[in-house]
Amino acid sequence: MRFRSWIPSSHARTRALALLCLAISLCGCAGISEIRQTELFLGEYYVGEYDQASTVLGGDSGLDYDAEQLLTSLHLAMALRAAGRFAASQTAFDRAESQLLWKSDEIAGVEDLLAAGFTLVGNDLMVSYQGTIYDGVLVNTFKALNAMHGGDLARARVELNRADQRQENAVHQLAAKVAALGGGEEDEEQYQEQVDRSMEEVMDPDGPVAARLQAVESLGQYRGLRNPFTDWLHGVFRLASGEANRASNLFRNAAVLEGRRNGHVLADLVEAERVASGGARTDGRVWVIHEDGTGPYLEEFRFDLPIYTGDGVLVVSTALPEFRRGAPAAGSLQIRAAGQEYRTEPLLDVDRYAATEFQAGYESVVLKAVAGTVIRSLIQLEIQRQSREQGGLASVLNVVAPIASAVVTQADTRIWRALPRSIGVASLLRPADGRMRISAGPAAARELILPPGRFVLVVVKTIRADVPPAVHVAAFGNDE
Amino acid sequence: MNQNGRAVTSKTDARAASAGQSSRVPACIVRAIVVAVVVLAGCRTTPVYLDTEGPSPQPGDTTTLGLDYRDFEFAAGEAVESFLSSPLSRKPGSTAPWVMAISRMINDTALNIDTDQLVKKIRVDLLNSGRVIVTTAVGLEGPEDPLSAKTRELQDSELFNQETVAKDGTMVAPELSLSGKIIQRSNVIDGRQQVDYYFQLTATNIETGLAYWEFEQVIAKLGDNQRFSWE
Repeated sequence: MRFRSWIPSSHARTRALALLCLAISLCGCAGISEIRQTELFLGEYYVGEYDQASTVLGGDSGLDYDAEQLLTSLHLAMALRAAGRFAASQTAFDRAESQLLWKSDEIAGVEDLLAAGFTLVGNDLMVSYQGTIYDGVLVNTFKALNAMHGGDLARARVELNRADQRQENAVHQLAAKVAALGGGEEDEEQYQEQVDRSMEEVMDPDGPVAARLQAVESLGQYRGLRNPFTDWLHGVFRLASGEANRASNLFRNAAVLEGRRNGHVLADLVEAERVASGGARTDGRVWVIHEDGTGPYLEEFRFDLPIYTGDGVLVVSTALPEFRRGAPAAGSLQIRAAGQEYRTEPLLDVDRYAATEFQAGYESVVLKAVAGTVIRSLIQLEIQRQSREQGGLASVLNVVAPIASAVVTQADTRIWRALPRSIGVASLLRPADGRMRISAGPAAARELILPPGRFVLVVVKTIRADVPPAVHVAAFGNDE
Repeated sequence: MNQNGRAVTSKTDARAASAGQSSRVPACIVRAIVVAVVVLAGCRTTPVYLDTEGPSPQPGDTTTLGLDYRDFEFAAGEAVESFLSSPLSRKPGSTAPWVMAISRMINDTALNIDTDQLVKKIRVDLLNSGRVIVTTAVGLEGPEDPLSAKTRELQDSELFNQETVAKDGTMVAPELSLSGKIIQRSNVIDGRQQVDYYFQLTATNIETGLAYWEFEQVIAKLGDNQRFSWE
């Protein structure tokens, strides 16, 4: 047999198989469990049953779960927030953030070690969800909003500063992440020829993988992985706090990043520059934030992978995550205040934001999936051969290895599913009568009586066209 | 041979030894055992008291990228020294101390810190200097100690000896207002993270609105770039 020439030593064969079995036995299949939990959660969340959704994962308190589960924390935090339970949401976000403190490609624990070095023969589903760079930025952004709703402006300032640092660091972090995803060369060397040949087939420009990558690329990118909504919200906070210079810089960032010239952001920029250049302080304003629809998600995409064994070509089914766009709900909000009509304008395209990070690492993800499938398949062939020849341990592994292999050929489709499809904003003078009417698509208009306060934040979440919007209002001023 | 040199040599030796023994003990098993031992054993140490009265932090001392008590002690100490060396720290034409109110102290960092840590140390030192007394009856968000006003409600009580009850018109209004801000700036330089903290304080003469004293102290820290500074 010629297997020995493809897998250079018995040490390498044992090592690869032992790693696979060790990883599965140590970690179970955390990822598969998380995917199932997410589906249960979304069954309630997507129909606007936010309290019920939080109960599914976190019990009556919404917080009764393993605090180290990042994906659960992210989903719960959004459900609790939509339900108006801001303190509980903040706790869930705090838990999420404690798992998102990595700044570059460090290896901090067993899971990271497995994720970084062992997954060529396994895959990321063996470990808990590790999070993305944009997750971190949005966690601090939503925490700032929660703090503003809770009247804790000092905390909101801290959260916005954190979000700003994350945005500043995103370029470096993305480069480190892509480099880490592309690691594992030591394992790859032994199977380089087979992996390269299979990769050539997979990356065929006319093939299905390339078509999917092109679809993601067509969404465009946010330069520097910087999102305009976070900068705009930070600008709003600074303007309301009497820091017009800083507000002006942040609004300018948001306007440039958004690119399509959101009229409300430009109006805020003009206002901040007016105050910064010595004008009278800002009159009372109302800022409306519209979180619309359901965010992007990943689906498993299976395809046949040719593996060149020397005796011929073996075709094995493998899987990759496919990026799918989210779905809008109302699109925009119509606002009537003081006899004037306004409409929210889009500021953050969450599809585009998530796709920016997804596509940056996608080639490495493909390489890892292909290399993993090639290696596992060759090892299985070797085990089958040894089983026939020797029996003993090899015959036991002959049973175990296909099971492990079936687990690890699934695609990692975990992503923060509770995000909206887009975030739009509107900025208007506070109406003298303190009343506003907001309409979201065909749903009945909602009359709002604004709370006292110079500045008011209105957050409207529309998850589906047939689900009534969730509306939360907070007043805040510059007396921090 | 320097430390780095030794590290490289030992790594090379370990690889050679590992290759030589691969037929007996697979490297993956060794790695798994090392990981398991580290995880199970953890890195437990017995907590110890620190000398909080020790010398000021010096360049090169070990620290965190955040702020700890030594930073507050240091910044507050420098602030008080600066204030006391200012000619306006003595009330013009009077030996009486200034009456100071504490105004807004903004934490403009990414750390959840209590600015009272900074202010309290300053208050203590200023009071001990004899040049400043802080009023607790006036504050930006109401009096720090509301009992001064509350006890005036006893003026109509028959239960209390009225000669011992504080009279109206006896409280002293503040003459100075202390405000400040802690700002954080982070940069990545040659793969390392530099975090600068700016402690900024101002004492304003309430009657004139003029800043009688301005202070800024920078504390800069350099560390690895693997975790955010607020960990």
